[in-house]
Amino acid sequence: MLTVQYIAIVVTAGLMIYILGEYGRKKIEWRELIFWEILLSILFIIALKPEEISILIKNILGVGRGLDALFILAIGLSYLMLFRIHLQIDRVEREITDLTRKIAIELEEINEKLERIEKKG
Amino acid sequence: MDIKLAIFDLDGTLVGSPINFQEIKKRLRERLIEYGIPEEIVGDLTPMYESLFRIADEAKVDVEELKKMLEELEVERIRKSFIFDGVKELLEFLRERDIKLAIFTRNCRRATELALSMHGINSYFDAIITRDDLPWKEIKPNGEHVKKILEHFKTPPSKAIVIGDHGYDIIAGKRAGTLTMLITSHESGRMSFSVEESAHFEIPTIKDALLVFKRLLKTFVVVPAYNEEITIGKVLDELLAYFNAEHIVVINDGSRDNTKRIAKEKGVHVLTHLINRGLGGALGTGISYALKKGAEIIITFDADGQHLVSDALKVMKPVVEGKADLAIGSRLMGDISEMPFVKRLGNFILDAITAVFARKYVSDSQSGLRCLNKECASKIKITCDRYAVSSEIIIEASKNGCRIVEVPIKAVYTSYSKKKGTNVMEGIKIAVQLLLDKLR
Repeated sequence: MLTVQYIAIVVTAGLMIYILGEYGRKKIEWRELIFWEILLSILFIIALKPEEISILIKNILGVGRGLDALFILAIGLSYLMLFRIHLQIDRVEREITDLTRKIAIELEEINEKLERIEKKG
Repeated sequence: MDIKLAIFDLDGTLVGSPINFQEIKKRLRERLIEYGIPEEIVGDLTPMYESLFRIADEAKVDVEELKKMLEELEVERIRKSFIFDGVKELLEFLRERDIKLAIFTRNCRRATELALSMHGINSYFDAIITRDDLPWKEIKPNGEHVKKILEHFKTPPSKAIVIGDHGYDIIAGKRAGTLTMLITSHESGRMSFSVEESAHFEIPTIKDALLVFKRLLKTFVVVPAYNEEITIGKVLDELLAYFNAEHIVVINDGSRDNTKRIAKEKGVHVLTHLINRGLGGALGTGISYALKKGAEIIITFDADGQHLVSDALKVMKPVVEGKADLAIGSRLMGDISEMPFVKRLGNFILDAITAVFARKYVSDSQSGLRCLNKECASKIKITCDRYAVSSEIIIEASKNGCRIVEVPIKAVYTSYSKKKGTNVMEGIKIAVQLLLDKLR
């Protein structure tokens, strides 16, 4: 096995344990747990058998070299993750808007109540 | 709306009679001829009252004698009169809300007072101005007839509404600068001739006025504002002429200038977003707040000064009358000479994209001047924070089965308002946002 394989195996295994821990601490939802664990398992398997898998992908996609096939797959996965991040940011933006809205409305209602109290006083 | 005074016409609006004015005209003609006035001088007696002055002048007779003849016929007609269904409920509703009530009529004082006491509604009115209380040239359709009432109550014209069943009522109201409401389906009591004039609001019968007033008095204006210190003061002053300060909601969308201070000074509600959330975020906040405060009708109005309040009234019309759930002020249906070409092109592309998602073509999908009723506003779920909200409102309204209409308006393009609003980049973002929304 190459040194880079050892590094990849350790990093992916570490990340898998970390994600499990995050789920245990209830910081992520089960959907996210499954998504990340599947993704990391794939990376783990690739780290174990990079040559065999790259040849397999090369044969499926018909790309010249096994390594190129891996790069193409990696770029594809990156775009997928970018899109996922976009959706997450979008969700967070909406949550910020909801929060801003709630604060704006409640502040105005508090102001109205204060004005009424001042008038009465 | 901030209505302080309601000015009612009498005949054909509050009371009707089996004897119509055609019949009165026929009888008056007979009496005048009997009195010795040559037929060619009598003429067609349109309009009746003014014709008496011409006849007196041409036939060299005392006009008071002629007026008495008409008065007798009018009193006789009123003795057989009836009150329209829903009048008392309407007057009671308006009085409970501290709205002053007045009568302006071309009828004589004797017949007017008889009608009001016969039907038990005289106590509702704080001022009654009949034709006998004005020089004959100043009675409606002359605006002076309405102005005299406005002066009596010291009410600005924009805070008053004239309700009548004839073009003459509407013309007089418009000349005096008031709001106007036309009753279109009362046949009993209508004048002997008609004059076409469009009113701010139209209703079939006086009974329908109650619902329209309920909506008008609970109309909220939502004004999203982001760094609009240059224009917000003027825009609010214009809105305050017609709308109650309690019902104007400015959403200060994280402005870093004096927008909040200026708006606060005008006495309107100012909701502050601590950080800028965009047009969609601001509209969502304004609509939620208005609904929470019991709004029946919600108008959205830009703070950059590109909309006219007179157009807001036009956009309100179909929604207030119950003919539509969402009305959009279309700059492209009106005069587009001032609209920059790039904006026209951008609008067209966005209209097409909106039409695909909404399955309804709207000629100005990006217009900021729109009016929604409570039901439609409650169904619309705003999720787009930025400019895509304009398309989203149409898509959501269409999806929820709201009736959408467009009303032509004129956009005022100043060098300031041209800089604001959507540009090409925003247009692309709107299109992408709408696509992503579909994927979500």
